[in-house]
Parts: sequence; structure tokens; C-alpha cells
Amino acid sequence: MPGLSHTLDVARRAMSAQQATMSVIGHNVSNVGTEGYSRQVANLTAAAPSLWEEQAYGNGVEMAGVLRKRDRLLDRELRQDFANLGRWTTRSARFATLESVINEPSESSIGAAMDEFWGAWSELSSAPDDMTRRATVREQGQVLTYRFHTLTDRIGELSEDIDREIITRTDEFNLIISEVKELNAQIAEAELRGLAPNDLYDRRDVLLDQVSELASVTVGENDDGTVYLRLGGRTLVDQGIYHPLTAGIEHNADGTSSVIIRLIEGPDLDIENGILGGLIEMREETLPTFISSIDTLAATLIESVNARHRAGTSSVPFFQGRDAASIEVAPEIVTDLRNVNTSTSGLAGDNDVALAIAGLRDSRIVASGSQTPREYWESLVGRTGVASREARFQEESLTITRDALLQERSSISGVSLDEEMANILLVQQAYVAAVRIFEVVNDMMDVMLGLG
Amino acid sequence: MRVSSGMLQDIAVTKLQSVWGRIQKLQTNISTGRRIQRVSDDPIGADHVMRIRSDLRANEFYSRNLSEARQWIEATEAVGARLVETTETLQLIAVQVADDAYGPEALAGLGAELDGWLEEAIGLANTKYAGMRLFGGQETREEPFQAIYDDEGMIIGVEHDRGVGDLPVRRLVDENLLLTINITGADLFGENLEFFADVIKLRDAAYAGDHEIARDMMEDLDEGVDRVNLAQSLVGGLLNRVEGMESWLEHQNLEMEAARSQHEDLDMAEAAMEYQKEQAILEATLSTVSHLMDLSLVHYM
Repeated sequence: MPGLSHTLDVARRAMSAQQATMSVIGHNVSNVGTEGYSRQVANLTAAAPSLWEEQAYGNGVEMAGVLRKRDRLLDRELRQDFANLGRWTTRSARFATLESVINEPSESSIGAAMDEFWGAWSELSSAPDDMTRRATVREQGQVLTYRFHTLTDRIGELSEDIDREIITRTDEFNLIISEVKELNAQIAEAELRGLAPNDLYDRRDVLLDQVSELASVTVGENDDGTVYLRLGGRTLVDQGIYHPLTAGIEHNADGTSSVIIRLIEGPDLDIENGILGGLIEMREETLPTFISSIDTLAATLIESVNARHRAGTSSVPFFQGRDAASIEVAPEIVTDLRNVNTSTSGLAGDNDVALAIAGLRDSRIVASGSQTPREYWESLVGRTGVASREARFQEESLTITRDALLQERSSISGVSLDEEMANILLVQQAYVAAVRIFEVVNDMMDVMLGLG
Repeated sequence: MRVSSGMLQDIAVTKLQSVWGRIQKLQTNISTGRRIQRVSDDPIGADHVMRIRSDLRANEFYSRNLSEARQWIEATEAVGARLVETTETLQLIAVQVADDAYGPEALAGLGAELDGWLEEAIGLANTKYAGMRLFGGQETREEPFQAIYDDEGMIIGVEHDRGVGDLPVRRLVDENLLLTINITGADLFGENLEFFADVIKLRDAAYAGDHEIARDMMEDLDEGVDRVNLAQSLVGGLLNRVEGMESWLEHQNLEMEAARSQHEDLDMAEAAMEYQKEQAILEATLSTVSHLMDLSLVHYM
């Protein structure tokens, strides 16, 4: 039969276990608002029993460790969502800018400027000899070229903004993975000493969430508690490995430029997801495709208007240039309105050239003769609008998924003050009860000693 | 489901954000009066709007061209009316010239009057509207009808280049639709400008006191009246057509404007209702959130 001293021991153990639990509760309550904090739970177990006269007697309670409440699977799902959301949020925001640059439907778009230009020719055809109307034709030509220039300039700026952001985001990415590397080292050391560095894990998880938003990084765990990061089939961080990224703009021979992300002293990387993936996609695919369509439109206008204009009496071109950035009203037209051709015959009442140019509005001259300039522009604007809408929908639906997953994570890992308060009451009572046992056993001992 | 303290806050923030987002969108729509701000708001609707706006812009130019064409035709009609009067007067004068009762002096007076009519007719043939000659075909700048004078300053003929004068004056009045709006010199004055020849012949007869020639000319002069009347009816038909096109264009514009508005403009009443609904949701969310956030076991210990 165990002696009174055994009971004292049980009470002592209970007091210290409840004290430790109280400390865990205090830690939880303190971190109720800390980002990425995972609720910790004191893992109390009944202490292994002792044998007296073939009878097992419990040894009270024992602190087996502090557990961190976390769902790894959920983390993985969330990180995938972060990467997708990063991509679509980026696309959605950039498309919104692109749409504001396109400025449709409005009266100050390329579409409107084309209509006004054809209209000016149509008005000129009604009074081919009129200098004021020739001046209007020239001015509307200049408005049209100005709209083309504004569009290409602003898309150029958009592209440069993206370049800058790619470089900043790459720096941010490097900063995060270097912190992951540091934390890996600290965690490995703590694990080696048999400690469970819960708060370090939390901090690292926050970083892993952040890095996933930038690019879809594969995260895996090693036995020693460290994680490895892979991107595009390359290992960036692992035991003894650390490869940050470098981003740069490379100018091509044809005057265009490309953004290249690669490991320092390593191969180029294909980044498809995350904010970085979204930015690269916009810069390397969406914007160049858009610009090339605008260039096609401008080149067709230059070519078609000039072919008809040259047939006239002065045989000068109306436009010069070869694409949206270089289209200009020809200097001969700018300096002398008499060079604006209205006819092939030169008769004051002949308007065949003016009519031919005004008629271009409804001629299928773009996209290998399948679309009028207006239809071409409208379908380009329409495609951009649809892509923009898709980006916004994706962003919205991924945000809903993310919020649901975050709720689920918070449900598992978040601190509930009510729960902690309830635990405090329980722990407090358990502690008081243990002290009572101590007192009673003490009294019993006094009585026993008094007997002697 | 376990509910952590942070969850309540997160849900509150997310819900409030989305309500604010919808309110902001509504407010933009209400302040611009449009339901489509960007193409992505409604790609199909925006496509319609772009097409309609473009057609409306084109129609504006068609209707300007039409209105100028109408004014041109009206000017032509006025000239025609004056020419009808002229030809009728010529018939009256011819009757007088043919009349044996008129002596040489009276006939000389009629000859002078005929000279006056001849000059006026050439002037009418060279009429300008808005700086353009109406009957010169594609020669709209220079006078298309030139009087030929003899040594004494008498008009003995009229010159006109039919190669240019018969060329059509065309106006773009609808998509791919060219309307010829001019009446040629041949239409008004005859294939070989018989009109002027007749006046000159009659005048010469008057000066010469030759009643016989005048009597023989009656049929020719009738033809002149018929020719001008025929030209007038052509012009009248043209005018009708242009006026019809103008009112059709106007009708089209009204319909397109209505369609544009339906696609692009905001239903204000609906938006205002929606706005009130969102406002109610916002208030309810705010009040429940602030109430719930205040509830905790902490306060009861």
C-alpha cells in the first residue's frame, strides 16, 4: 500500500501539471490575435502506475508535452489556393488597368476616333473642294494617330510597371526563402534537443503561405523537421541547399524585351502560378498579343488609306509609319492641305477618292479580309473584356474558397477565448483541489505524528 | 464545428468587405448613370453598345450629308422653277414675235427683252449652291456654261463641256449607298443645249422682224417647257427620296438610341432599391457583429 508521502507526491505532480497547463492557456490567450499562431494544448496524461503488493496505484498526472493544433493537409490545400489566387488577382488587376486604357465603350476610344475619321472623309466627299473640311480630315487623322500612340504608350507603361513589380516580388521571394532557411536551421537544432519548437513552426508556416502566393512552390518535409522548397523542378531550399532567384529584363534583337527569372548561376525557370506567374503571363503573353493586334489594325489602316489616297491627284500618302506606335499623318498633308486628295480626276466636284476612303469604314480589310476595322477593334476589345471578366470571376471564386479554407484552419488552429476561459476554471479548480489534498494529507501526517 | 475567436472577426470583415464592394459598385453605376463601366461588366452588352454607338456616329455623318444633299436639291428645284417661268415667258414672247401686228420697233424691244432672258438663263445654269455649281457635273468650281459673244457683244452661243458636265455628283448617304443628286445641263437645256439656241434664234428673228421663224418655233418652245417640267419632276422625286431617307435615318437613330440606353443605361429605380437593400444588409451586419464581438465568457468571470 502506498504511503502518505506517495499521495503528497501525486498532489505535487498535479499542482505542477496544472501550473504548466495554465502557462499554455496564458500563451494561447496572449496570441489570440497573432497571425499564423496555432492553438497549443497541454498534453496531460495519467502518470504510469506504481506497484504495491501486486496492486497498481496511479501516480497522478504528468505533462507529456505541448501539442500544436494544425492540419497539414489543409495547409497544402490553402497554399495551392494562394498560388492560384495570386495569379488571378494579379491578372484581374492588370486587366482592369488594360480595360481603362482601352476606354470602351466611350467617345474617346480608338473605335470612336476611327468613326470620326471616316466621317470626316464622308463630309469632305460632300464638298470636296472645301478647305475647312480637308482640315477636319487632317485633324481627325491626327486624333486617330494620337489615340493609337496613347494606347501603345500606356500599355508600354503597364509593361514597365510589371517589370518593376517582377523584380520587387523576386526580392520579396528571396527574403522569404532565406528566412525559411534560417528557421529550418533553428528548428532542426531544437528538434535535435528533443524540443518541439511550435512557435518556430508557426512562423515558418506563415512564410510558406506567403511564398506560395508569389509562386507555386512545392513544399515537402524532412524527418528532422526542416522543409524543402522546389520551384519548376529545381530545389531552392533544403538541408544545406539555398538557391535564391534572380530576375532581369533581357533585350532581344528585334527591339522587344523579355523578363527572365532564373536561379542565380542556374537555368531559366518557368513560373506559371502565383503573383510572379501572373505577372509574367501578362507581360509575356497578354500584353504582346494585344499590342500586336493593335499594330495589325494600325498597319491595315495605313496601307488601305494610303492605297486609296495615292490614287488621287497628288499621289502622296496620307499616313506614314508601320504600326500603332509609329503611325503619323504624313508631313506632306500636315504642311499643305492641298495635298489632301479627294479625287483621281482633279475636278472640283469629283469625290471618288474621298468616297473610297470613307467607304473603308464598311470594308472588310482586316484579318485577311474577314473583318471591317471597326469589327476587328470591337472583337479585340470584346476578347479583352471576356478575359478580364474571367480573371475577375476566378479571383472571386478562389477568394471564396480561400476564405472557407481559412475558416476551417481557424476552426482547428485558432484560439477560442471562451474555451480558454472554461479551461482556466477547470485548471484553477484542479489546482485548488490538489492543494486541498496536500493540506489534508499534511493534517493526516500531523495526526499520525501526534500519535507517537 | 469549433468556432475560434478569430473566426467571428474574419467572417465579419469578409462580409463587410463584400457588402462595401457591392455598395461601391452600385454607387459608381448610380453616379455615372450607366450599368456598363467596362467591357468586362457585360461583354455581350458592351459589344452591342459599341456597335450601336459606332452606327450612331456614322448616321450622324450620313444625316449631315443627306441634309446638305437636300439643300442642294432644293436649290436645284428653285432654279428649275425659275426656268419653268422663263420657258413659259418665252412662249408668250414668241407669240408676240409671230404676231404680224408688231412692227419693227416693238420687235426690237422684244429682242432686247429676249437678250435679258438669255443672260438670266445662263446665269441660272451657272447657279452656285454653297460654293458649288449645281449644273456643272463634276466641274463645280468654274462656270460650266460660257456665253459666246460676237464682235458687237451679242451672245451668239453657249459653250458647255458635257464630258465633265454629265458626270454624276454623288453623296454618301448610308452604308455603301451613293446617291446622285445633280441634274445635268442636258436634262435642263437639251442634249445639244437647244434651249439656248432657241432663245438666240427667237431673239435674232425679233431683231430681224421675221414673224415666220417665230411661228415655226412654237413646237420647239413647247419641247423646252416639257423638258424643264420633266427635269423638275425628277428633282421633285429626288427630293422626296432624300426626305424619306432623312426621316428613316431619324427613326433608326431613335430606335438605336433606345437600344443603346437599354443595354448601357442604369435602371435608376432598380439601382436605388438595390442600394437600399445593401444599406439594410450593411446596418444589420454591423449591428450583429458589434454585438457578437462583445459577447465572451471573459466578461462573466
